Amino acid sequence: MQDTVLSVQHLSTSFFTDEGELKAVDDISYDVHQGEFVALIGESGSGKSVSALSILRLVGDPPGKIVGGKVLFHDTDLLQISDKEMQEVRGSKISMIFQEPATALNPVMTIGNQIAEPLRVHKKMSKQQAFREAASLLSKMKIPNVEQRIKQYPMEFSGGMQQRAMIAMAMSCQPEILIADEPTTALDVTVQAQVLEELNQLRLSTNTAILLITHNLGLVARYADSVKIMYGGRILEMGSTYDIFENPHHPYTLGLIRAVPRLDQPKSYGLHTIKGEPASQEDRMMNNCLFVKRCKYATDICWKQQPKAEEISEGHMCACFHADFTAAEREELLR
Amino acid sequence: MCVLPCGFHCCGKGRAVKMINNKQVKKNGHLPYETVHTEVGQDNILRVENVRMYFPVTKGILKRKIADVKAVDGISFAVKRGKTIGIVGESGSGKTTLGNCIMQNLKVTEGRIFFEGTDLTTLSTRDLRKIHKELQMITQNPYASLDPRMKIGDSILEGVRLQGLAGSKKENSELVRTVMETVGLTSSHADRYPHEFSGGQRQRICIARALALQPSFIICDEVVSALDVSIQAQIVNLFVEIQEQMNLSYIFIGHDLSVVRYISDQIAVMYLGKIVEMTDSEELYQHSLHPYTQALISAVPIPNPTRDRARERVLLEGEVPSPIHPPEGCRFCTRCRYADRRCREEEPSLACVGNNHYVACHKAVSA
Ligand SMILES: Nc1ncnc2c1ncn2[C@@H]1O[C@H](COP(=O)(O)OP(=O)(O)OP(=O)(O)O)[C@@H](O)[C@H]1O
Ligand SMILES: Nc1ncnc2c1ncn2[C@@H]1O[C@H](COP(=O)(O)OP(=O)(O)OP(=O)(O)O)[C@@H](O)[C@H]1O
Ligand code: SF4
Ligand SMILES: [Mg+2]
Ligand SMILES: [Mg+2]
Repeated sequence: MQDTVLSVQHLSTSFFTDEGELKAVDDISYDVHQGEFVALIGESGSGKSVSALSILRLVGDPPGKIVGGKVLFHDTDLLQISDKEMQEVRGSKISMIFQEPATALNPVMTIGNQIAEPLRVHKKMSKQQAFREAASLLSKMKIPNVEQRIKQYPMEFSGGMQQRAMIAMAMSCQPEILIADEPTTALDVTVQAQVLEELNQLRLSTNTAILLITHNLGLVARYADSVKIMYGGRILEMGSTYDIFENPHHPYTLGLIRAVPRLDQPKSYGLHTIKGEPASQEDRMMNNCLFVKRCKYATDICWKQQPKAEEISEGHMCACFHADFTAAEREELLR
Repeated sequence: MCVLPCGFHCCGKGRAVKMINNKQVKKNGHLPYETVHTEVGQDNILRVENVRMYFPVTKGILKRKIADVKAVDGISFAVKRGKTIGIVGESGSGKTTLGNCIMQNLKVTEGRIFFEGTDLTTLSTRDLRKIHKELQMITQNPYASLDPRMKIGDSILEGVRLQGLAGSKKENSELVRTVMETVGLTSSHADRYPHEFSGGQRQRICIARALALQPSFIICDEVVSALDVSIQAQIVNLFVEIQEQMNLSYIFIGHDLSVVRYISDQIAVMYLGKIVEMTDSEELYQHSLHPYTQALISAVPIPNPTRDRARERVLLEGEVPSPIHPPEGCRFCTRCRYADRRCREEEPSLACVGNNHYVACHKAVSA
């Protein structure tokens, strides 16, 4: 494995509101290696965005607060450095594409200016240089007629092109890590596939690590190197993409993968659902398995203790007392 | 093979009926007279004939018309009672516009739409309102379509009230309770406001609202696209269940072929305002003929890295061209890897290649 660029250790973030503490992210740990494509998946509300925002210290405080852990970027703990130093990291070393695309592009500034600006600020490029660089990035993201497009405003771009422009902007300073929070969810599947393909090509040529947050499990299977499955603020299972999709052990991971409609299987294969509701604020305070209410394999112990993450194979971790109960379901999945 | 200027009548209504009958016979052992009668007499609940919807593009203060956005450009299909037709295509292909034409939210430029035998394009506003009891549309965005200041129980009853069909207080709350339970919501939550529900729950509320009128036909426009996988699966299964319970017919619009195929009996693939391929959903994914359909299938990844990465992928390059000036010849020719001179000059018509399978492609038909 290549060098570790980011090491998230026991990170916990909570929101403190009238209703008490909400553990949005609860003791998660993982490493990101140089040039690695990491995917973070899990249902709505599982803490994917908050965990990513915590890395960059962008969680609104109040009501949010990082209550524990470390975020080591190389060997520096990002949670300890000054605001000014953090600012520098954000712009050029770790960049982020936010979940709401409307807020990310400035409607009254041309696309070219928006991509060139960080280059001039962080890389001290001349205006001309910065524009040349911007044009080259846009063409790498397969934007047609770059010369003309670079002078246009965001509203003149289609959704897919806006998304590409945002990626170009985020990649402009050649960051070591790009965090992309659902960059393609609002787009149709063909455009999602195109944009991800281009992003992946760009990653391979620049060796930037990518932390992708998405609901699209198929694209994760296609591009990611490793996957973290989040649920109720915790990571329930993580491993290589092959581990997660072809040897999943956690009942939740299995449920999630089996809920994806598949073109390579006959209709009778069925669309599985996970019954019940996501982990509530109260559920997260209990000292038992977070998934217990929805789990068909649950026994007494699951209601009494919190399962620790255990190693299934090298780098493949699963937090479930009964990971071996799922063997039959696993076999069915691979049928 | 037979070319179809007006839709798809020539390739045998007779045969379609026979196929259905055979299935029935197998399932029930015998065929009740009523079934035969409905199958023959009222086969199609909806028939769309050569519908066009052009939006004028205007210029200057005089609003001089300079061109047309040909959002829907000559579409014909039919939906059988209790069945689902899926409509797939990229963003901008005209799916929502088509739905709005059928609902008569838009006045079609050309063409006719028969619902239960009545041509909707000729109806007065008053008669249309009656039709809207039977024909409902659920739209793309579960967040925008609910009034945030209205209790969800009242939202659910809104349509019923507009139709003048509201009963006594007791009857109303009974109705709300039934539809909420049908869609898997706790009926005691009828007094809550939309913000107290999650995205998936709000989509259920929208479905409950459509069901309250007890329609026979629902147009579902991207109803699951904004939801995460596990909730998407729940909602798709819910649509299948209520269809069986209430003998509903659907048009199910989406851009993800894997989702649409799951619920549809038949699928029409749209590109730049036209249908480029149409057939039974299983046939479509097993024997797709149009290069565009093949690209759509290829765009859907398989959640298994070994299998997905071993697949030969046809990635679509570029974007959908402007519907103001669609390409000459075949509309797909600018992005098609098989396109040759004929494709750029002559527009292929939607032709039947047997087995209830229609395709508009020179290469597919001659091959
Ligand atoms: N500003 C906030 N104040 C209070 N609670 C918040 C705030 N932001 C997020 N949360 C809560 O934190 C939890 C995690 O939210 P987060 O946005 O990380 O979810 P997510 O996994 O990104 O979901 P989605 O897929 O919907 O984007 C949720 O329960 C959410 O309601
Ligand atoms: N009221 C209107 N005036 C002018 N053009 C319109 C209007 N409504 C839609 N269009 C155009 O018609 C075309 C088809 O749009 P439509 O919304 O039907 O596509 P769609 O297939 O539903 O796409 P999506 O997947 O993004 O929902 C687009 O080019 C759109 O810009
Ligand atoms: S620990 Fe128990 S309840 Fe939790 S997922 Fe495993 S079997 Fe299910
Ligand atoms: Mg999020
Ligand atoms: Mg639409």
